[in-house]
Amino acid sequence: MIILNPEFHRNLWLKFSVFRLAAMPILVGMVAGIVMTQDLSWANDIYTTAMYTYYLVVFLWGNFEAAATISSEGKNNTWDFQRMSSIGPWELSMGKLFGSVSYVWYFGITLLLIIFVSDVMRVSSPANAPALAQIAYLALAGIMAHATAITASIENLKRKNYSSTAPFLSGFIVGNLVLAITQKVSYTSHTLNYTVNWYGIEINPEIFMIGSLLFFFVWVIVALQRKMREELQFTNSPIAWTLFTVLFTAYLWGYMPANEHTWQNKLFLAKSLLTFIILSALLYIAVYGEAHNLNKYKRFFNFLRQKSWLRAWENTPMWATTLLFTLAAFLVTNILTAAPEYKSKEFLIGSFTASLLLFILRDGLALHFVLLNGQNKHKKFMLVFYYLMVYFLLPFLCLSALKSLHVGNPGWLDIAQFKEVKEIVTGLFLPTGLSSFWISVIPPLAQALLAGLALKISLRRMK
Amino acid sequence: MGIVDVKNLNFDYANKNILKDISFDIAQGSVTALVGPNGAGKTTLLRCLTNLETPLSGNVLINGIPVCDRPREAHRHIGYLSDFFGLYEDLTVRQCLTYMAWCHKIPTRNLQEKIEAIAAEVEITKFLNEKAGTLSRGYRQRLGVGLSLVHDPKILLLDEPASGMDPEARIKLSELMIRLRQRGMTIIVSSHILAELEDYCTDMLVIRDGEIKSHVLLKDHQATTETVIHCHGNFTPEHIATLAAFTGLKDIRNEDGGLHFTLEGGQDRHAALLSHLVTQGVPIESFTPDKKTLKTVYMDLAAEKEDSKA
Repeated sequence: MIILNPEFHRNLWLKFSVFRLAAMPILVGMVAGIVMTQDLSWANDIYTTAMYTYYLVVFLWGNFEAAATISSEGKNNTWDFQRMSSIGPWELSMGKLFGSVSYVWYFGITLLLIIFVSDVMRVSSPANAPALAQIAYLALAGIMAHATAITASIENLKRKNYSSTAPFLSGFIVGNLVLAITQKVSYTSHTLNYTVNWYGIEINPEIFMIGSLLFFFVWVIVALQRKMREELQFTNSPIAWTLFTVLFTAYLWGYMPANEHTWQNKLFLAKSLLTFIILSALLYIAVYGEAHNLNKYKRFFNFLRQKSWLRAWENTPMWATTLLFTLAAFLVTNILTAAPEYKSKEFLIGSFTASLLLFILRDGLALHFVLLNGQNKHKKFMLVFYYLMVYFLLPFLCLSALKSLHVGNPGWLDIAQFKEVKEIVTGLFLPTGLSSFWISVIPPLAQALLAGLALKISLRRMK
Repeated sequence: MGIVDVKNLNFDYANKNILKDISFDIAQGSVTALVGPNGAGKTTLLRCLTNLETPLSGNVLINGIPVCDRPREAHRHIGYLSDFFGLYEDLTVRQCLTYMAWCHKIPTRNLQEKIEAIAAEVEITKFLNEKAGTLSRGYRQRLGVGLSLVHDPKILLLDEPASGMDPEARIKLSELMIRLRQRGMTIIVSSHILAELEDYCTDMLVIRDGEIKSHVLLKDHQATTETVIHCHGNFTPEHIATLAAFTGLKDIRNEDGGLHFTLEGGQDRHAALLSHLVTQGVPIESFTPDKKTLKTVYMDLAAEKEDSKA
């Protein structure tokens, strides 16, 4: 029972007073009164007003409260009391998730009720989602946004960063994304009358959307609980992350068309390539998440030396397991593309996958170079500088220099040669599927070696 | 094995070795002064004992429980108050204590009686219904200690508990520590102001540059080290000769109308000397051994280290 949760209860003490209890129905009633006296089609207007108010209350105010709940504990030095208590990660996560925004939900639930009733009563367009589905979308989007904001603020707290701006933005982005997708899918499913084909099963888009939303909702809550576990000094093995990687890939696989006549035997290749790309993205996220924690690496190697396999597994970086899966997907994809029918002069999957992996390796090493050094006070600036240089300024400078050289000296390169040189220059900065494997692979490989060397020197200096 | 048992503890921060292969154990019921200069690693050591900071390597056993493996279980036995702790300013003192009791899973039956007992222990009963934010520094500190005691821990870790407190608040804190010691609680108190710890510590753990320099039982140390004694009276050369003949007595100075000398050993030896002088008919008007303060013990230990280095 959430009411017995100490953290939830503490928040009730803080956030509710007789005045605040009375203020909500007065405010909502007044707004409803104004709307109803303005127009005869009051249900429609009430619905719209309640929707906008819900957005302001849950997605703006709620995110602000959720983002501040952990940051304020850090700022006010109260967090150690909670970390030293017997409260568990699940209990504390739920207490924070629903306690910090308890007053917001006092408003929010009332608004959801108004939305539901006015939605049922208004002259509904066929393009509208069923009232109950709409309520589910709004509620889940709100909770996911708040959970994301709290998770981000725990991550911030670990780095002694007590600002709630980034957590607020994280929650706000997630909330809006979920809201935008659900509203869009809901609208198109009613106007275009289609079904979703997932693993060959035809599913109503509305039902599929709720299923998908629940899948991601569960993982957002798991992420919050795992982060809270870390804060409460429990060791997290990479098992949850690995499971997420597998299930997320499996979820996306379902979208690949199962009609063998259309795709014939290329279907498996397409799935394999998609898996590789998804895993690469997750690998990048995992590398970024782990690149700050030098002590975790040290503990991992200590346990390996001591042959404490279980403790070593508990301290294994998340990216390590993801890398194994990514390499497996890389191998499968490249074995499949070895067949002659997949050879293309314009785009080589082998070149693309290899260069993508090498660019991730380069960025991973560079991130570790910047972030592992605890005494580096300009980490954020260095990261922004790095990304600006390697993904924007240097490519832009090289390509525009090449273009001006080509335009200025018409006889220097013909069109075909210019295209070829442009491709090579692009390959210096981005993963490309160039017709030559080595031209795709050597530039990122050289850059990765350089980043590795810089990291090695930096680690040696730190000793 | 003590109630706190630390073996080969290492901790790095920003790639700097803050705690270097630290090992020690703390006996049940002792009050240990954790002393050392600023930046010696006192706070980090206390935080590693609670696992609030995860050590790089080594083992910490709290009442036999490995704190790194089973932190929440170990926390049931530890009360910890950090140097810069905060309070939930908008909650009343009663709410603060109740909340902490809930967080520690203390059964709700008789909870209010328990809260009142804790408040009485730390002498904040009259503020139970006041907001924590309105308390003065001394009372905030007492509430902090109360919050750390709410689950009846066996071990209390206090980081610089008296810093910034006025003399009266310090005396009250001393009295509280003595009461807790009498109840058999094991306490580790860190401070770089030795006078704060004078009244209630039984042991001293000296840390410097992340290393434990010495760990002494104060009573034993006082028994084995030398004390300067000041005697006043109408002394003749024969009396001085009688005094000088006593074993373990040296550096006799006759100045400022009195005799000043150094005697090896603790209080037993002081009593033996006094008895010897009275028996021999030496007319003593006053006999004052210098009090062995934590400061002098600390200085003794520092001198011993210098000697051993030399």
